[in-house]
Amino acid sequence: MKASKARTLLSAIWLIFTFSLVSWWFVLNLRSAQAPEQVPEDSAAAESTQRGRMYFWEGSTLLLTVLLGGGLLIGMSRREDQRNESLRFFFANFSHDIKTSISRLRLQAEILAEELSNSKDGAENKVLKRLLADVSRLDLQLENSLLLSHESEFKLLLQDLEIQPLIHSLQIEFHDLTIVLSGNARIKADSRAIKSILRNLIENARHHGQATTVKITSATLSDSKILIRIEDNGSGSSLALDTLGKEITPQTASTSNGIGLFLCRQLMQKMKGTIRFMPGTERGLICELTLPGASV
Amino acid sequence: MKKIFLVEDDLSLGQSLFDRLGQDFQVQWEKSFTSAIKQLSEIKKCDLAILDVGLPDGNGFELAKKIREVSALPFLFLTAQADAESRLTGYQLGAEEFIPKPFHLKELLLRLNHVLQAHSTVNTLQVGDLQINFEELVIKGPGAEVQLIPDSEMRVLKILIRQAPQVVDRDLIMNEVWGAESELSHRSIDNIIVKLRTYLKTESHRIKTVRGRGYQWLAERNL
Repeated sequence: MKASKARTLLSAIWLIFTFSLVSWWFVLNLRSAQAPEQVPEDSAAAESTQRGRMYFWEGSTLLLTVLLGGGLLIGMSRREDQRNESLRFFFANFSHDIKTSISRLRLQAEILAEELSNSKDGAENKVLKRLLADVSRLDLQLENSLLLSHESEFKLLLQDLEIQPLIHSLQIEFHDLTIVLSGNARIKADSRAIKSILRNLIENARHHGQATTVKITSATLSDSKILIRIEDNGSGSSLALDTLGKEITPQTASTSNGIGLFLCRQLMQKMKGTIRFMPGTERGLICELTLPGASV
Repeated sequence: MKKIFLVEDDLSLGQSLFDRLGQDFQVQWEKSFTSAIKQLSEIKKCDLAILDVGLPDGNGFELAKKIREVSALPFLFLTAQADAESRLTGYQLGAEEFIPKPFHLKELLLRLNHVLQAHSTVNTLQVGDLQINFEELVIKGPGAEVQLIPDSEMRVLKILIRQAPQVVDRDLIMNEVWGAESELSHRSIDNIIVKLRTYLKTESHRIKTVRGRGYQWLAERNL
């Protein structure tokens, strides 16, 4: 059952329960007020009428309050559901439309790049390459925002995946970088999530670290986990490495807001993996990802 | 030239794909669920289908189901709906690939060629001592022995081999070889399988009966 439906149901149960309880109390008190007692008739009748009136007004007010409160709770809960539903609908449509638009733009730019690949006009090619790199960044930023906007609801499809085709796809995207892969381990991961993590790490190395080469190695650890090590030759990070990806920070002139790395950490946790950063052997940054290995 | 059945409702994206893929393949482009359904009879002439999921008048998953009812054509999804549920549905329907938008042209071409290559049946196939020649409709034995196979029976064999290791439904074989309007019974398919096993002699065990589902070709690695 969806959380929103459960909320409405709980509100309704609360209303029925409290309303029944108060009704029972109300009826019981009214009856006891009307019951004959062994006291002088005149004063007893007067006291009984007075008590009855008091129970009636107190009870009616309480019942009305419970009824209104419960009704309001159900109404608000339903409004919240409708709001969430329209937000989901908006995001689904927005995501579909914007992704199709980026596809159109990228496909046309790539076709143009293919056609111009034999031309000697270096300036045109440079502009196109820049355009393609910017489209890729836009795509990544959009994907990060979409994943972050419903990160808690993001469901995984864990599949047995080979590293090589994933990296090959990244080599196509980051064609201006030299991406070297050694080892072809098989991991159990969500293809969208792992691709998003690798894209963020490589984009960071290129954009923030000005790296020109990224070396990716994969190896099987003793506990059937897979280690993926991503090492770049960029300028590294000016921030404390153990804090990378732990929170989203305000953007400054020298650092970004860290959404990409924050998302990497969240997605790795969801896939029962770990992520850790360390300084490169000579320069740059090393990121180590540990993930469960594929089923044998 | 290989033929691709493309279903994409976005006119600009569809046109770009049609133009670019058209350089390497013969492309049939349908812009809606309804028009794609109307062209289902053409599907058998295609080698691969590329399906968008979000169509204005239907759903790519429904379309994939309809395609599966009439043909064993391999298909892939090219879609902006890349959430876990959609991907799972896509793979459960038998999609070869699930390519999320926005995609890279090179990657699309690579995956497309990969699927086509995986599903292309070579003209000849060596099975143990036998050599099956799909073009000449013959099975050659160890000596000079040559057995002529009727076209329809060879097509059934071809489907089983192409779909391996998947189990092939009798209805699918009937639809693909004789068309959806055919009045052939399941018994006729069973008789053809008996004949094929006779032609295959010592390799007859390659065609496995899967009770209640159909037949399966056991390639070397599946034996």
